[in-house]
This record gives sequence, structure tokens and C-alpha cells, in this order.
Amino acid sequence: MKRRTLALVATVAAAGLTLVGCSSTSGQTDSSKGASVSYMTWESTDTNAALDATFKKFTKSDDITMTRQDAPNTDYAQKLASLLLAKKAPDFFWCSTTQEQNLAAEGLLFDWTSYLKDKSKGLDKSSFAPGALDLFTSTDGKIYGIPTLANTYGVFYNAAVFKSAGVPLPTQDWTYDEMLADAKAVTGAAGTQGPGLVTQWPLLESPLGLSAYSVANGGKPLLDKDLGAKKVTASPQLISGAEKYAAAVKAGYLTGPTFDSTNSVAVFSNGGTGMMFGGQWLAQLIKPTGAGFDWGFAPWPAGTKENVQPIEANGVCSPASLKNPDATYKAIAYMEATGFNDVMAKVPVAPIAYTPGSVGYFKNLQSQGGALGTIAATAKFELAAKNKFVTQMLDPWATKAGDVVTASWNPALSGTADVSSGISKTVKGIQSLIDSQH
Amino acid sequence: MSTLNPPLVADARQAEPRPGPGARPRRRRWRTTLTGYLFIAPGIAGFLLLVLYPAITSLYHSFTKWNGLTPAIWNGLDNYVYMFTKDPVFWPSLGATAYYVLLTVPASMVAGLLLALLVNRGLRGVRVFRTIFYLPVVLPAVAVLTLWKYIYEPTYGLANEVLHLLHLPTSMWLGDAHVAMPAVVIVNIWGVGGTMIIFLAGLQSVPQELYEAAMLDGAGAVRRFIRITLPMMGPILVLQLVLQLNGAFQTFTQVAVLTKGGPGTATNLLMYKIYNDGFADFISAPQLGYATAEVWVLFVIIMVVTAVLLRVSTRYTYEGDAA
Repeated sequence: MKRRTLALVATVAAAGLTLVGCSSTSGQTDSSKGASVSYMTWESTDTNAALDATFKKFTKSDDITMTRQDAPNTDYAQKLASLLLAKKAPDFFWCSTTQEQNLAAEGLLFDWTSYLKDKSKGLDKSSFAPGALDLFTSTDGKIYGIPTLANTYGVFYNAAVFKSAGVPLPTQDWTYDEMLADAKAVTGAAGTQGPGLVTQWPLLESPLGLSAYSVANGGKPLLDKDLGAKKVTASPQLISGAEKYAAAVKAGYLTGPTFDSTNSVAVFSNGGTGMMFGGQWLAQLIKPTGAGFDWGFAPWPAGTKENVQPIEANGVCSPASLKNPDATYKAIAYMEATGFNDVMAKVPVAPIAYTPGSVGYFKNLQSQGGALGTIAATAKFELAAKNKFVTQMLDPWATKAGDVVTASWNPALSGTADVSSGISKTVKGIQSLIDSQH
Repeated sequence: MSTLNPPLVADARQAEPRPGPGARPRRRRWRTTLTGYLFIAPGIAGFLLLVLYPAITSLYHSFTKWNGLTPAIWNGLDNYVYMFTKDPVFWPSLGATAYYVLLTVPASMVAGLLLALLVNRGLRGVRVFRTIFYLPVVLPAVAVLTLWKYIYEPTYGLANEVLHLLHLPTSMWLGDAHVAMPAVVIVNIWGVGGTMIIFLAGLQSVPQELYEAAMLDGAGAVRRFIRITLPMMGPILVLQLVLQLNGAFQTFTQVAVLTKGGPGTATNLLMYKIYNDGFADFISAPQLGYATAEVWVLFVIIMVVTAVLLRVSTRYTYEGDAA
């Protein structure tokens, strides 16, 4: 009797435990079903509309309601800061690499490391473009942001101006010397005014731009590490590159580091200059107006030793207080692998760091061919490059380093101060900022 | 005036109830006082909450390392020490601010006064000119500054086109470290209509009989201006000078739109630097504690300059007949 009772109790208990186990498992699976996820971007109206459209499909298939919170483009960071302070930040939001690093250091972001380790959760780490995830990895090895839109940098060229100057068009393996020689040759060609190479984005002549020059020509990078840097070095190659740029600025065929680039795209689009340095996203601005001539997009030039290409990706981050990480990660994974293909097929702003999501972007550009075909080719080339340099200083001292660059670097590169002494002051200034942190 | 007031005051006193036994008159007075306080309460609350409290907390934050997102950490005088000894942009910014103030304040004062003298003449259509000169004041600043940016554009801008037509040497304008600041000041002078209107009001309040008497004594236009107009305009000139100095020290929009503080640090006015340090990229590396310390330094500078100016001006300003 006793045995029978015990067996009965054991059976009931086992059945009960099984049921509890089942219900708990189904509870986990269902935690995202019927959930609602909010997000915020700094994108244009067109891109946001395309995102809304693709997330509608996601809601239908996965039963997760998506709500986009409106945000201004220019004051995005301030809006985000207010929302974080008020603990009302959306479940995921657009963030730059530096924003991710700084917010993570303050303990304000959700740690996605364990989710990214598990392929079955929707994203495969190995499918990110080389170096992209590293940008979002903090010094403790944790990943607080997931890379999304990647940026590539290069030189837009006006084929007619090149033809008029008798210069061959840039190729994917062109060098720094060729770029500067082309700038000199196209200055004033075909009735253009001003420097032959106009910068729209202040990266080419920046300390990190010259750091890339140094590495590509066999020198050391400016910073020993992209994140958690301890030593600043100006190799002879870096100084030599800076001297070449400063001479080009002085001779009037390259704009200086403090050049006001507000009108650069308008000048290029109207055939006013032979070359313009900038990011691939500018193609969307040139396209509607620059139909009057052939143009193209060449990659960042190579050095004598290596071909070093820029790596820059924005991403998405979530607040540390995130309530439903499963549903949020599902939405992010959908956006990366599927949503961006829909969005970029409509508004091809940038390639996606998660390569399966880049299909729509490249298809769109390649189908249009011509100049947009060169954008696709250059973006593919740069994303696949093995040797890369980070385009922004990521450490907390970066803002103060900006002041050092303004005071010492820019005058040197503009030709208004001695190059060696300007670089030396910059190195000392940044080194002192780093030392004061430790 | 002195003959009219006493009876009125006496009447008012007579109307008051005589102090009698009990608390009634005292209560009435208390009620009157309370009513007065209630009327000014919104103003006082506004001052305490919106001026005094932020001022005190900002003074505290100037001694902290604070990014606006996490609690502030007390770091004593570190912000001030860094500002005065290590910040590579602080002294150039202060220099640029002083240069700007020295250029723009006298230029605006002189231009405003000259325009006021011009439109104070009883000429035909003078009201149209007054409106035209005042127009820049009512136009939206950012839109106007954007147009000025196009005017100064070195390759296709109107300024160089005109110089080219006149066979004069062209300039890089906002792209030239030596020309950028004077170019910003020119924009300021263009918008001098507000100063002109205040000076015009001052000119029109100068008694005409003084000019008539001076003319009878054989005083010329220049002498009348120096001996009558300027002294009579003294308080208005001082007021305008104080306002101009305060405005100049706090100039932001012009450089934010036209130059972004460049080239280099040529137009990096202190107010613009403060904005950049505190808000430019709010999340990347905001330095709100440091920016607040810079605000306090700017505040002290403005206070000292204004106090000196007021002290000096009292010696030379005609304040009217003391009797």
C-alpha cells in the first residue's frame, strides 16, 4: 500500500514537473509573441518609411508589434540622451561606434554578447564584414551594439574633367601619389574653378587618415590600439604624407582640413570640380542632379606597401533596462538579415555590415549601372579588404583630442604652420590626454 | 511736482482707519502685505526656480566631472586647472572672443549712430530708409546667415564676383584665418538696425532749443554734435554699449552658421566652444561639467567688464539736472 502510494505520488510529481517544464519552455518561446518593440533612427523620411514597411511584414510573420519613435537627424544625440536620462529610451536605437563605446562604459547599454554567440538566435557572427564587430566590442570583450549600416570612403571623380585633363580614370588599386597627381592635373581643367580635389568629409587629412597613409607605406599607425590606446606615434611615413598634403593645399589643388564643405556636393554635382573626397552616401545627393556628366567612385588609395581601407559602421544599441531582449533581438536580427535588403533596395544609402543584409543595396546599385555601379564595386572592395583602419578615435579622451587637432594639426596641414612641429604638438597633446586617463 | 504730492499723501493717511484697540488694523495690514506677496509670488518663484537654482547647481557642476547621463563626480578645481593650463583651444578662443568684441562693438556703435543721425533728418521718404535699415533685425538670423555664407563663397560667391568685376583682388573670406573674423563683423554691422532705432529715439529726445541756442552762438554741425548731441545721449550710449558688450561676448549663431569656429581657431568664440564641449556630440563624450566651468569664467569676464564700464561711464555721462 505504502509502495503503491509512493509510486502514485512519484508519478503525479513527475507529471507535474514535466508540465511545469513544458509550460516554462513554451513561456520562453512565447515571450516574444505578441510583444511590442520600439526603435529610433536618425534616418531620412524615405529610409524610415522603408523601415516601417519592412517591419510591417515582420509583425505579420512574427507577431511582434514594431513602433518607431520619431527623432530629429541633427539633434538625435540630445534626444537620445534625454530619453536615456528619463529611462524612456526605445528598445533599440541607432548608435555610432563612439556613442556605443561611451554609453557602454557608463553602464547604460544592454550586453548582446550572449545573443551573438548563439547562431540559432538569428545572427551569425562570421557573416559580419571583417572588423565591423570589433568596433562595437568594448575593452572587456563584451558587445553592447550590433553593427548595421557600414560607411565606405573614397573619391568621386568627374570623367569629363579627367578626359579634358588627359588623365586616366582612377582604378581600384590607385595610389596616394596618383591621387595627388590627378588632383594637380585636373585643377582648372574643363573650366573648373578652385582645387581639383575638394573634400566633403574631414577624414582624408585627419590624423587617422594620415595614420592609414603611414601604415600603407610601411609606417606605424598613429595609435597603438583602436580602443584603449596607450601610445601615440608619428612615423616618418606619416610626416611625409602630411607634408605632401600640406604642399598640395598650399599649391591650391587640394582643400585643407578646415575647408567649409557645405557646398562641396553642389560644386561637384554641377561639374565645378574634378574630384571630391567623401562617403558613399553622397551618391544619393549627386544622383538626382549630376546626370549631366559621367562620374564614378574610386576607393581609398593604396600605399607602396599595403592597401589599407577604412572601416566604419553605425549600429543599434539597447538600454541596459531593456525589458524584452528576446523580442528585441528577433526584431534586430530580422532587420539585419531581411529588412535591410528591402530598405536598401528602395533607398540605397549604405551597404550593411551584416553581409546577408547587403544584397538589396548591391542589387539596386548594380541594376542601375554606370556611376552607381562604381559605388557598388568600391563599397564591396572596401568592405572585403583585410587591412583596415578605424575612422574615429573611440576612447573617452577623443573629444579633447579634437581640440588638439584644431589647435595644432589643422594649421600644419593647412600650410599655415610648420608640418613637423604641428604633428609633434599633436602627438604630445594626445599622448598627454591618454596619460592623464591612466 | 513737489507741490502736488503732499496733500494727496495726507488724504490717503486720513482715509486710513485709526489704530484702535484689538488686532483688526494689524490684521488688515498683514492681509495687504500678504496680497502683495501673493502678487509677486509667481515672479519670485520663477526667479528662484529658473534663475537662482540653475545658477547655484551650475556652479556646483563646474567643479565636477559630469556627462549629463550619469551622476556628477566632484573633481575640485580640475576643470579650471585644465582650462587655464592644458586646454589647447581655451586661450585661442578667449583671444578670438576679445578680438571679436573689440572689432564688433565699436563698429556697431559707430555704424548705428551714423545711421541714426542719417535717418533723423527730416528728409522725404526717410521712413522707408528707417524700415530698410531695420529690416535685418526682424529677419530670421539663420536664414540670413546662410545667405551671407553664399555671398562669401570664394569660388561662386557674390562678394568675389563683385570684386572681380571691379578688377579688385578677391578673397577666401570665411576660409582665410585673417579675413574670417572681419567678415563675420561685417555681417553684424549689416544688422545694426536695432542699435540705430535706440539711438534714433535718443536723438529725438534731445531738446531742440539747445541746438537753436548753440546755432545762435555760432556753433557748427560738428561742434553741436560733440557739445550737445553726445553728452545728451550719454545714458543711451552707455546702455547700448553695455548691451552690445554682453551680446558680443555671448555671440554664437554667427559663427555656428558661418564658420563653425574656423579656420583653425580664428573665429572659435568662447560661447561656441562652450556649446561644442557641452553639447556638440552629446553622447560621444559630453563634458557638461567642463562646459559649465567655462560658462562661469565667461560670466565673470562679462561681470567685470560691465562693472568697469559702468564705473567709468558715471564720470563722463550727463544724467540730467540733479535739481
